[in-house]
Amino acid sequence: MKYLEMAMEKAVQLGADYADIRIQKTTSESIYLQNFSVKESNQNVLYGYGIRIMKDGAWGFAHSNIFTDEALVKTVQKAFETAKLSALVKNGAGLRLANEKSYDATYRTPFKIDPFNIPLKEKAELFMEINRRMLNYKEIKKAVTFFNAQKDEKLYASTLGTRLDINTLYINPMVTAYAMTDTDTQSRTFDEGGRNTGWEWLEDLNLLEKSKYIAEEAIMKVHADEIGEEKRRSLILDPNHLGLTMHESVGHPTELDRVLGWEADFAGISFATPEKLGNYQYGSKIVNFVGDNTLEGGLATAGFDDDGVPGQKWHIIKDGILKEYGTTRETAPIIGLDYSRGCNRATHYYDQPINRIPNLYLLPGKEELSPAQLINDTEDGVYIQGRGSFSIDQHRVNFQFGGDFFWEIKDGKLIRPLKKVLYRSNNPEFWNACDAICDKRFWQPFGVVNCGKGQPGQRGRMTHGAAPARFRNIRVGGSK
Amino acid sequence: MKELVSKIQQIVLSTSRADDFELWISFSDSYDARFAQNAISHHMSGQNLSVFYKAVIDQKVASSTVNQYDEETIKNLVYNTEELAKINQPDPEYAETLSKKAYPQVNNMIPETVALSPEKVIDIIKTSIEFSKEKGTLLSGIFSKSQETFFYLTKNGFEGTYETCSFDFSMTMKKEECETKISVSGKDFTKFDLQKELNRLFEQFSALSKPVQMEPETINVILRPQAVANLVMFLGWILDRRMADDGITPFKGQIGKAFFGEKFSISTLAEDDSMTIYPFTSDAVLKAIDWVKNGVINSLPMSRSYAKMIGDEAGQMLNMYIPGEDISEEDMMKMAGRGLIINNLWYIRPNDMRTADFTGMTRDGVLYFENGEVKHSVNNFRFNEKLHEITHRILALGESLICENTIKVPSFLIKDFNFVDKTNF
Repeated sequence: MKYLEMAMEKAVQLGADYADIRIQKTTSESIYLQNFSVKESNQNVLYGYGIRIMKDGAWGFAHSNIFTDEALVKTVQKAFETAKLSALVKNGAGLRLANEKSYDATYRTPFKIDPFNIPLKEKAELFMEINRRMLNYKEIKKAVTFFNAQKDEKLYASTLGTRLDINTLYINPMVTAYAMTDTDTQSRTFDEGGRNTGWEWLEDLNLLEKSKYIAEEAIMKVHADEIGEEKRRSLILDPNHLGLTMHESVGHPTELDRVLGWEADFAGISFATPEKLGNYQYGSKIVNFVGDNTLEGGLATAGFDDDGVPGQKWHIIKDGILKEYGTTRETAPIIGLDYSRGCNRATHYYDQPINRIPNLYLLPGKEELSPAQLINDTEDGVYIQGRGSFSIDQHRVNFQFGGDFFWEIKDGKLIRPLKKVLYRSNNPEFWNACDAICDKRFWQPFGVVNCGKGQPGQRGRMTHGAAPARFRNIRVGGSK
Repeated sequence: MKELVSKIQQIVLSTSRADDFELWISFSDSYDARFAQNAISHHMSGQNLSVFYKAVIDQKVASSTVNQYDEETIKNLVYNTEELAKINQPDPEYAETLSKKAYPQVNNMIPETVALSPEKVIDIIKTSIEFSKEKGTLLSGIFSKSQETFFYLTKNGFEGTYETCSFDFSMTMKKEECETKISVSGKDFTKFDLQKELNRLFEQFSALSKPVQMEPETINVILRPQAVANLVMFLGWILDRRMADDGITPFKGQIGKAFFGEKFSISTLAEDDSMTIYPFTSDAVLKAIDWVKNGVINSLPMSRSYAKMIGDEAGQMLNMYIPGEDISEEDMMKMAGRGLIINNLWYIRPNDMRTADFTGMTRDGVLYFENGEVKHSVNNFRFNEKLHEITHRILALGESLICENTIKVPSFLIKDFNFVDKTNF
């Protein structure tokens, strides 16, 4: 597209030290059914471009949705003028970008069936049937199905000479049943958090069949007992639950922009400061976290980030020790690195990219171990499935999590379902309490499509993953 | 702008074949200068125009949004949305769009706010950072300015427009483990006094030196207005008639009853000089409503479709206002004897919706007081509390102040606030 070249030429002509342009068309569809009412069936197209210019160690960013030569030139000028103003308020020489090569590349999310080609009628009928099956149960008073698909078509150019053509696609189905009695309401949700793939994933999931279990477990949960007083117990957490736990307690604290204090005014900072690199016992020796923006189906897998840095795979925590961060070209040099791990991403064309969590997952255990063996080996504990309440402090140390479904474990057996279970822990206690992780046969991914960060707020996407794991001696109880 | 809007409306009117439709055209002009650790980190500006069209055909509904507005795109928007509606399932809960009616004329546009230039904003940030450096601290924050214009049209004859402008400035001051934040937001930049805000920030920061570790306990607290605003945003979310009637929240069957504490009232304001006022939504024209008055639930917000189902009136929790009693913080401390002053709350999430049980943490500084005097700052805490139960333990209310541009709330003095955990900072 001519605008890529025109923008880069104009930026250089104005005197930009570095510039890039991202022309991005985001097409999304969402369908939301509450019982038999289609509350939302919405298709959106957001199309425009964002131009980022660095001048004298400072950024300027401008965006537009008007595709004319005149508007483009004005937008480049605006980004340039904005960068010059930024340079009036910088530290020392300002920002420096980590080294990077130039690339000419194309990336496409692999998929078989484009969800946008499935007629709305077919989708709505499927979701209606899922709700119908759940509402067939007398105690299910509310059934909710949500579906969201999004494709992002991006053309990117930078003054490094990089030219990228990237198309990504994700889908995200979610099903919830609410069981109600006179005294309580409890829900059970199917939510794997989305995946970069096509409609074929939804077919594989067989949500019609799953809806039965969702409804039955919601009913089981509403009749379940509460756990009682808080005490220290073992926790066995399933991959879906662990996805959120690691997102909040490992993903965010290892974003380098937070570590550097760039999020101090809003999302918070991080306890995992640079002097801890290479020596901080973040977790037990079996805890290994990998950043991997090449993960198949990963929501952050796009070939390249919005700095034009290719997807990579690296250890963030190795054998329990904090090794590295998720970095960008602008943040990495501040801690003396001359390479970026490719974690700079923007949500829409009008967003300036920010340091994001990569696809981040816990490696499975090396020894053969099944969830059944893990439960069998646990005397007193709770097995938590799915995600529920979550809250963590702004340094990412103290947290409290709930879950979606709970089983009490006694003497190696699941003895009764529970509800309203919460656990409280902190970094580094929690990950150092991990004493067993099931093997790779039980590893599952879990997607996050709405990671809120930045000012103005952006919604990021990334995939986590784990096999079921056990944590010893954690405070588990109810709300009081 | 008016010409362009008129052109888009004409294309829609001449193209639409829907039984019913609604059309929103919104124009935004935004500017954001974000700074961290005494330097600008992100600096953004741009304009956007988006067109939202919702079509109803045989009670089947679909909607679409585009942000291109040439004739072909708008015609395609109408055509494609209607084609989507045709192949959708009928919505048994569909309600007709708003018909022609008058709406409040609001004055959200302040020339000085609209005229605020990037150069002026950079001056403000530079002055603030210089102030911070003089105090030996690091400053992070954001200055945002936005201007929006909305046009709304329905097939049933409603036609309305309104404009808004606003600015938001927040600053977090930090040195070692001490950090605190203040936010200023509003539509009227002439009321902004930078030096006053910097002094307020530094005063709040200075109070936090030499923090003492304290264990969590059940203790009296003074929640300052920003903390109350954050809590009330969640209350506003769950105060919904349908969620109540469905049994998702604890408000089922409570209308007309004193479910909240006597000192607690919450209203939607139809006019206020300091707030940005939204005169209508797709659901209803703005009307002043006392949702809860002296603890009694009068009504709960609900969508247009649910209002039709139960034969009631639609309304939304906009322009939120909690009346105060103008009791000073000093007097509150005397009344409480011993307790904590909370500047802000953070990461509030539901533990259990049916009981309105929420968790969250303190942030931006906690002060311990005894015998009517602040003694020292303490670490942060986690709370678990049922939102409506808190209102039964309100001992006193301060003066209602604007927070977040559309929320006006007082400080709360609350008895026996339930803290369950703590941080080491």
